[in-house]
Amino acid sequence: MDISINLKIFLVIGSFFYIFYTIKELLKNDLQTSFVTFYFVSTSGLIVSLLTPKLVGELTKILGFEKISNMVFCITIFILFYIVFKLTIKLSKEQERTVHLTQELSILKNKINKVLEEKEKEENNIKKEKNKKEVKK
Amino acid sequence: MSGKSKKEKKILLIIPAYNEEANILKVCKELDNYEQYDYVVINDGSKDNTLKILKENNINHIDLVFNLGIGGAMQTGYKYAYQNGYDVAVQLDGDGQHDPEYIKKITDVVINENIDICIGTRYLDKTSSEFQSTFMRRLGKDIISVIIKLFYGVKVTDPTSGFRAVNKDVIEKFAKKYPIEYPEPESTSEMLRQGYKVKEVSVSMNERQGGVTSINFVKSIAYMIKVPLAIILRRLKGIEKGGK
Repeated sequence: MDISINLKIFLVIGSFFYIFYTIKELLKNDLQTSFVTFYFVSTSGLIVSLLTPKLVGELTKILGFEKISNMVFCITIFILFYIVFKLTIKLSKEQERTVHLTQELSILKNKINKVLEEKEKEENNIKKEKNKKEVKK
Repeated sequence: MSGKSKKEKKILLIIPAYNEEANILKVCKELDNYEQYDYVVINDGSKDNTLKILKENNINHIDLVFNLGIGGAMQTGYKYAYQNGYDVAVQLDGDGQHDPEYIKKITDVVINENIDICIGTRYLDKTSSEFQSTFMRRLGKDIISVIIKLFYGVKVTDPTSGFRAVNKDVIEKFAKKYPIEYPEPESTSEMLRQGYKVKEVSVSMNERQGGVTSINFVKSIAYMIKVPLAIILRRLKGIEKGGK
C-alpha cells in the first residue's frame, strides 16, 4: 500500500530540487509569478503527501486507488494536462496579438511609403518649377 | 440602376499572395483594365521575387513582416478596407484562378440584393465552369457543405471558395476577428451563426496559371477533420437572432 522508501527519498529530493530550480528561475528570468506559483504549490503538495503517508493512505482508499503511487501519478498527470491546456489558451491569445500587431505594422508601412512617395513627388515638382524659373531668368 | 449604385460604392479587391511571382503581375495587369475597382496585394512574407515585382511595377501592396497564412493575409486586407472606408471588399486569389469578369456579378448581389456575403462558386452550374477541381477538394467541400446544412440549416454549395464579396458590416467584423487557419469555411459558418445573409452565384474558374498549390494529401485529411470540428463547435455557441 505504501510507497517504497527508496522511491520516497528519490521523489522528495527531486521535488526539493525542482522547487529550488523554479525559485532560481523566477529570480533570474523575471517569470510571471502566476506560472511559477502553480509549479511551486503542486510540488510542495507532492512533498507534503510523501512526508505524511497516513493522510495520503486514507485519501487513496477514499478515491479507490490501489496504491499511493498510482494516485500521485494520476493527480500529477491531471495537473500537467491542466497546465498544458492553460498554456495552449495563452499561446492562442499571444498568437492572435502577434497577428494583429503584424497586420497593423504592415498597414502602417504601406501608409508611410505612400506619404513618402507623395512627398518625393512634391519635392521633385518644386525642384522642376524652380529650375524652370531659373531658366526663364 | 446597378451601374449608378456601383459608381457610388467604393470596391476593394484584396489579393493575398504567397510565392506568386509566376502569376501576380499577370493578375494585376488584367485588373488594370477594370478602373472601377481599387486593389491591394497582400504579400504574405513571400520567399521568391513577389515583393520585388510588386515594388518595381508600383503595384499597391502591403508587405507583411511575417508570414501569417491566408487568414492573416486576408484579414490585413479587410483591415485596410475598413480603415479606408470601402463599401465592398472582394477576395481574389493571386494565382489567377478567379476571373475578374465575374467580380461585377458577385458585387452586384451584395450591393443590390441586401446580401452580406456573396460567394462565387464553380459547382452551382456544372456546364459553366470548365475547371471543376480535384476529387479530394470536391469531397472536402461536400463534407463541409453537408455539415453546414445540418448545423446551420443553410445550403452553401462551396463554403471553401475564396472568391467572395462582402459588404461594409462584414468588412468591419472581419477586420476585428477573422479565422487564421481555414478562413473561408470557418468565416462562412461564423457569419451564418451571427445571422448574416449568404448567397452563392455561379462563376467560372481557371486552373492555376503557375506556381505550386499548397494542398497535399496529409493536409487534406487534417483539413477534413479540423474544419468540420471547428464548424460544429462554433454552432454550440448558439445562433444569434438578428445579430446584425
